Amino acid sequence: MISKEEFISKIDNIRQNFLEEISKNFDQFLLKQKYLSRSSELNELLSQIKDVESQYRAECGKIANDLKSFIEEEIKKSTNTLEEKILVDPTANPKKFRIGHKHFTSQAIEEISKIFERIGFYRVRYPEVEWDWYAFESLNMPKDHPARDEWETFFIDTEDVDTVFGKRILTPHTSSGQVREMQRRKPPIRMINISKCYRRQIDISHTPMFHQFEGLVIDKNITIAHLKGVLDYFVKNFFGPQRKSRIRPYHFRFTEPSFEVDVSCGICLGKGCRLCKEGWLEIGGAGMVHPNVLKAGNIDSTVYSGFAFGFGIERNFMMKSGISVGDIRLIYQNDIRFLEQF
Amino acid sequence: MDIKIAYSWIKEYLDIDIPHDEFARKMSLCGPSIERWSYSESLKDYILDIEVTSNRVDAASVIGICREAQAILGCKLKKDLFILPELNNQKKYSSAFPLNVFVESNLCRRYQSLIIDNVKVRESPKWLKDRIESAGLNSINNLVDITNYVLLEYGQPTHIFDYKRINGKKIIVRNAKEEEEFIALGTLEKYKLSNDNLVIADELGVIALAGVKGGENSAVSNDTKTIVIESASFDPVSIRKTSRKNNLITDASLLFEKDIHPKNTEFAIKRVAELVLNVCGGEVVSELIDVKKVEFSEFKRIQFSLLEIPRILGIEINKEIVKNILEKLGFYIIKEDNNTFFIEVPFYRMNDINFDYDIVEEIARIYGYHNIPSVLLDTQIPQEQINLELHFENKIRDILVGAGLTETYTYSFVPEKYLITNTKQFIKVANPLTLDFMYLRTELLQSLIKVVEENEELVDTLHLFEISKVYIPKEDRVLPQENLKLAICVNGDSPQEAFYIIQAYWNLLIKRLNLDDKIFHYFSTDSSTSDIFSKVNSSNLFYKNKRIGTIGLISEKVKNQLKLKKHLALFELDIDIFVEILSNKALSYKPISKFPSIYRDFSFIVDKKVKWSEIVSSIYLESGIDIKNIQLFDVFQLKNDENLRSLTFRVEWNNENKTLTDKEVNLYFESIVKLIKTKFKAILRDK
Repeated sequence: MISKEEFISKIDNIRQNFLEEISKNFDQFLLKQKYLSRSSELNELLSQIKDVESQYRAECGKIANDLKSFIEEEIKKSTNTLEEKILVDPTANPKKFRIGHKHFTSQAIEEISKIFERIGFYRVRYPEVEWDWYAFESLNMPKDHPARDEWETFFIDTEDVDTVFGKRILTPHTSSGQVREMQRRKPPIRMINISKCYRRQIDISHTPMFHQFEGLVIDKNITIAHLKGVLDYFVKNFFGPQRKSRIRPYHFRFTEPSFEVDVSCGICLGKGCRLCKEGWLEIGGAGMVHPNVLKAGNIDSTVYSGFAFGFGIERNFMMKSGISVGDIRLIYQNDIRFLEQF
Repeated sequence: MDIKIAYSWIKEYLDIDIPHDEFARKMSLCGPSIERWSYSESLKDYILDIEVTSNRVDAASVIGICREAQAILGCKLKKDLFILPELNNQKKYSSAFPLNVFVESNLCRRYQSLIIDNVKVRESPKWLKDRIESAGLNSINNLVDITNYVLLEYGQPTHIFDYKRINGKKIIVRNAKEEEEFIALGTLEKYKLSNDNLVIADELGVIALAGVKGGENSAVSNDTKTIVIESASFDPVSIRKTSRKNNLITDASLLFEKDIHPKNTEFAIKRVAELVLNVCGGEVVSELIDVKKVEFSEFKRIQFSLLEIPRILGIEINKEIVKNILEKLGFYIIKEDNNTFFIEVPFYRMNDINFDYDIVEEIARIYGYHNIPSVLLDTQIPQEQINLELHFENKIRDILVGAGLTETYTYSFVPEKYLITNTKQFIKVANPLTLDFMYLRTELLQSLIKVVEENEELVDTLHLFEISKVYIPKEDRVLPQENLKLAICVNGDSPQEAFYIIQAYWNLLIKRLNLDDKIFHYFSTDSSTSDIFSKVNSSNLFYKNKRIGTIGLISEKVKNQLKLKKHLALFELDIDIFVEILSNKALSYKPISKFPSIYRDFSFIVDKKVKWSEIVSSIYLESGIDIKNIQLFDVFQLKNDENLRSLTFRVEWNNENKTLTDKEVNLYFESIVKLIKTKFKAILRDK
């Protein structure tokens, strides 16, 4: 026997559940299954009506049937929106916007400037057709110095045209911006100079025009520890949080001490693997600004010190993104099939 | 410079017991970089590829590497490398082998020579051959191999002459005469020398190009019996100039131009003599001739304060560690006074150690850069205004890429064929790679039309742009002006289609930069317009009285010259001037009108010479009251009369203080119709 109270409370329970589920937009088909099908709880209950005390049977039956029609009605209401026709194939995409492509090098420059911007570096740009004085002489490289060989330089003039500045050349590195920046503003200096550079080389891994970025920091109490800090910051932000940087001794005339900068290999993280051999990949040069260079920029080297670093854009961006274009000349060949991949 | 040294050779001098790869890794962190090595099956030896920086010619030898290793690895040398057997026992030399050395030029700092008689020239013994081959050289004969061996061992080039072939038994070190001839040994190549070349000569002529290459006329051969060993020191700049000028770069010249200390000659000549006596036999038959033309010192003193270490490195290093590092590197501490050291620099480091920073570098690298902490900058962030040119360059690039244009990056050089312009002055490279890299562009479109030419057939339409510099020559002795330009190229099957797309891009750019298009004026092209543009189908863009760019079609001439199949529209903008306009422009806002706008469409037929910009400015000027916007939405050429063009546009009127009535707008409408009819001889089309 089921008591009237028990029956009604079961009915109430079903109503409550139903209202909750329909309010949450449950699938209509499932709602019908659950509440109106033969095996539904409500129908089960109705089939048990004979077990209700006879004097309450009619009353309980009505309550149950009322709920049933309420549920039917509610479900119907919820389905009673406009019947929709199939209008589109959601998987088809015949309309196209014209898609623009930002060049590989622009993307690299943008990313690099943003990384340095976050730690207070401002961006500058200096002449590409430059005086020998800014590119070499002021950087502690006198005329006929063998160190100059490392830059395969394009010349505009064959003889000096200015008694101080010498010949006009195409700048072979962004370091020519160091003394220009020292002349433009007083310390503190925290610049990033990104520019086109030119060297007399063309082969599978060299283009006569390429891009570099040069960092220069000059202030009181700047040390190698700060340089290492900035390099670590850059390497983690540019190559990835697990990567590390290291500096090894090198020689540049315009820094003392001078370093080569390596990043730990992304595959083996510095342990050494088939790809990187010793666990590290070279990414550029750096050093503490030579007192003679500070002097050329009219900065007192007993008060100020600084560091500088210069990295190639194209090679590092390829290294970072794991892109191997094979022949680096493709970057400036402007084949539309290359450009449209970026 | 890169040198190849067999690991076993290093171990011959150095008391170490670590594998080659560990040696390489440790050395690279603190000294010369050894990133590569190879195993030689035939020599059963690891050959290390060592990169020595240009300031460290003293390290570019077996001995130099061993000295470095001693400091870096803390190991000991097995023998003192600078003690060599005395060759000249007291014996008085006969005058049977006279030789007079005259050093006439200061470009030769020191000239040492020694005569050995009765040598036997033959194949080298295996140990010598192995060493020569391990360095990647070819074994020639025992004499030549010995000079190469000593070059590798001591980093000092030496040379051996056949005594018999020295005319007049005179060695004269002098400048070459103009046009004097020299024939190199081995290659037999003939060189015409100039006065600034230093030569070794005998009575009759040049027998060697000093420090660069020996001469054929004095070279040793298989029947050489008596030899003269030369070990000398030359002016590095002179060697470099001679070698570059004659395009003759040798192992010797590469070492000499990096300034080997003159003291090094004495070890090398004794070592060559010792090896000759051992390997080729014979006896020394002359005194050691030693002409010192230039004074040189054998050491120098440097004062250095310990306080410089934290100033440069950011950390302090214990005094005892500092002393230990300096001593291992061969520096001698004469005196220490509190924090100040007085240091004597050995002769072989006199070139690269010049002031206290150099000493700090030495201490730091041996201490290990990896042992210095990494610290983020904690100094003041500089106050710096944003660089507007760079800012707007990036903004324009983003807008155009977003609009569907593809960015190119072209070389700043342009081949002569593309140097199309109205001016004839260019920046010219004096030493170009090829003719394609000889001139710097004066217009960005010179580069872009080449890209169009090369890609035209690859895709349906090209929508390209670039933002880059052009290089405008000024006077002869100043730097050119570098102007930042934007160039856009759009091609299409009809000239109108291509052109109106490029106009749309320009308008989009203006709108996205919050500029009012009414501030720009279109004027016909003139002599300042580039020849790339069609003169009749282009317009110069002006802001106030400044020309900021040109928009139009490519000239028929250039189109034919490049054999372009499609029609090409071009746009060129001077970013520098544009940035001036942009930087003065603040964001602005006008309250939204509470009253509705009223619109009317117009359709006129006008002569095709009439410019839309003229119509617009006339309307604004003469009938502009309450006009909010004039929007052109259709332009086409009449089929029955190609001198006529149809223009359809919509005018929007709005008054901020009231609702305009139909009556008012009808009056406005009529006045515009009248204006255009009379001023431009236009016909109003029926709807």
